Amino acid sequence: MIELYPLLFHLRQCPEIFLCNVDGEAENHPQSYILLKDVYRKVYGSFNVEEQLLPPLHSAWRHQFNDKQLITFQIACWFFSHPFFNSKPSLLPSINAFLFEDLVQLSPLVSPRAWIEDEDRAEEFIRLALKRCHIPITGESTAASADRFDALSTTKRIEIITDTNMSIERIKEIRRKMEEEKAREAANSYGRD
Amino acid sequence: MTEPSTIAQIQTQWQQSWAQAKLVWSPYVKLREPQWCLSSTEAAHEGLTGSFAMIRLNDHRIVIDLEKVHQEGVADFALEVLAHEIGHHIYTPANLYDNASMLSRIRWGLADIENRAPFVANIYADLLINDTLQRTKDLNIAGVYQQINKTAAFSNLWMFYMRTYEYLWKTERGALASHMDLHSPKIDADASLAASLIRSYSKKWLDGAGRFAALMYPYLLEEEEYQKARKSSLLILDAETAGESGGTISGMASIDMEGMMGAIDPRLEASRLEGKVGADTAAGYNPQGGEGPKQGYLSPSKYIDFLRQLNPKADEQELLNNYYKEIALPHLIDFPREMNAPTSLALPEGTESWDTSDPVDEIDWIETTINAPIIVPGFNTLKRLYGPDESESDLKKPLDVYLGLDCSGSMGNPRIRFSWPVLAATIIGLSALRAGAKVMGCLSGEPGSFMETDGFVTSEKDLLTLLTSYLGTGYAYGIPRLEKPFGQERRSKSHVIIVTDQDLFSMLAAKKEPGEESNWVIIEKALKNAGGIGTLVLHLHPGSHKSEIAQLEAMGWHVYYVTNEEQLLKFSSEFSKNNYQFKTH
Repeated sequence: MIELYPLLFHLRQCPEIFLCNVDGEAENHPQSYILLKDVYRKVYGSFNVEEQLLPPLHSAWRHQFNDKQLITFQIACWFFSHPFFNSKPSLLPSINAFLFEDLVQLSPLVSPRAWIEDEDRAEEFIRLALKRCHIPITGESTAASADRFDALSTTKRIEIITDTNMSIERIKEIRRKMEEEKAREAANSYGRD
Repeated sequence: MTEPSTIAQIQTQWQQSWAQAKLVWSPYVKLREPQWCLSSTEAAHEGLTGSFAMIRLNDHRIVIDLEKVHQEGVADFALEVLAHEIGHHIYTPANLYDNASMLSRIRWGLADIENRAPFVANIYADLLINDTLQRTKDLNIAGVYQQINKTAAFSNLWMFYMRTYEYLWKTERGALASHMDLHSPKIDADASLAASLIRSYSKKWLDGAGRFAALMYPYLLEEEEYQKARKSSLLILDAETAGESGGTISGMASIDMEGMMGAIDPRLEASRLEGKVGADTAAGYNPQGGEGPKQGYLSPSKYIDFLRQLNPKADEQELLNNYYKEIALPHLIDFPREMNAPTSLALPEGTESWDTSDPVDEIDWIETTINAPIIVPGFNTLKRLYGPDESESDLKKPLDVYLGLDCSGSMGNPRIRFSWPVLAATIIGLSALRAGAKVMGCLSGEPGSFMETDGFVTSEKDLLTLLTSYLGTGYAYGIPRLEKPFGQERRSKSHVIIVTDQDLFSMLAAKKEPGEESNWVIIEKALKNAGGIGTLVLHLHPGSHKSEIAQLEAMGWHVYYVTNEEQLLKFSSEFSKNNYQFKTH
């Protein structure tokens, strides 16, 4: 169990370097790769851990993701560097799924900076991460947490909004046709006069 | 806290909270104490109906209906309610101009339902103020709404409004939006967007007004839904008529491009994928739809509708005058400056006492000796006074101007659609008035009717009221109208401008009764008696009616052809500059 606000504060303190450089100095190992490995080791609780005990990152890794996605991973690295996640190796599979499933799915919809700068997106990021890791939030019931996450969920909101937009367009179209009909009738009556 | 049982007790309690309510915003807030109405009847006299409080921007007042306060059970929320009302005065809308700008931006988001803009503006302002009070000033605004909700008739819009507060203040679902049967994912999504918008635009709230209107648009589109929304919100509508009696706000005739482009539906923004650009206005407004110069202005009817929404007591004629004046302003001549030609004090103008503190060389010895043979300095010494040596020949008096406008059936009504001839006449007329000349205006649609000012006038209002009127009779400007001002030679010379079209030639050729002067004779005589420049502005292609034009030119008339009405603007600007502009050498 963890409180939401300290995590929110931590996420929004993300250093600028995490947002602007994905390739770094190393030729074969981009910055994102190094950061991910480091954060895995931190969560595992040891920097001398053998590679096979950490989630795998194969050699062609860099080319699977675009820069925006890599920056989003770096933001996640910063987030999981919070002391709460230290030495909790059981969280590694969930963190891996959060990174390469949830964030990858959201990356076309949310810009990397929005995860830090937009209050709602930051909260969505944290709730999604905690949900993935099955970590409850202090002072919130499971139902309240689920409700709050639903309210913030970008994917869910876009589904609803797309439906709403279609229905607004339908209403507008009906009104437009009614206006046209009215204008036509007015023109006819003017012509008769 | 126990609830006071009488209105007088409530008044005392609320009066005591007033100073603290001002402190909530700033120790420097200076506002008069609210007008306390002891009964709802008294409040209705002040224009307060429906809600228990309201603001007026024209006299910076807050009006409180204490009877309603008691009825609605909000007597214990004196600090919250008063701080909220103060917020309307110092945060949003704050003043008449910002109120007008906000309403203008909101109207762009409400295509075809612009009449609902003040309602949306009130709700938007309330959200901004309440969020500030609850989150940064630690006031219990949520408590006020919980109390109001006990009797409120819930509608979709009220749900949206309450859910927005729930998102803003991170309360449990249902803490404010207590009717769980009305909850829906659609309202949740909209409320979540509204909460983000309120937070994002809390400082630059004007910029968010169009987006907020677009967000509320579906809740107000259908009449039935709107009426339900109004009914549920009646108690909180405290700033809907804030601009009443606020006079005419300047600068509203031009289209606020920033506001128009800002009326983007946040739903579209949110559903647009990252990186995809292009803004869709919620209203589906066509940016090419403006009128007047560079299509940059509202139509007169929309302008009047908008300004009357701001101030229902505004006089329609005054608004129309103001509309054409605003569009004419950039084309008017500068106000004539006083000539400061270096003049010397060279003309002797008598004497006055010389005092010992004055320079000795200023003493006029001759006058002093004539005045008193025994000279006592400072007692009977005199000095000479000199006046400025000015030449009156440098002061040129501008010529008066006569403006004759064809107002026959072929001309549009300047009240409905923008009129170029009226704008041109306004530019020339106001420039002449600025330069100190007198102006006579005449609208004529003959045979049929005409209207004219009472001779040559100096009143801007009289002139504009005449120019913006409409006849729509006959076929041309009636030449016999020139008889009245120019039947005899005028003592003050005058320019004559007649704006008409090719029907002028039919008018000139019109047969008269035996003994009456022909129109050809009248037009020639008029120019001679006027003594100034005569200009016929004809909506005509150069080259037609050659012989008649030659005859007019031989009389001394200048003929200015316009093939589209926009050229009238060019003509009027040039005419004003050539004849009324102060020239510096």
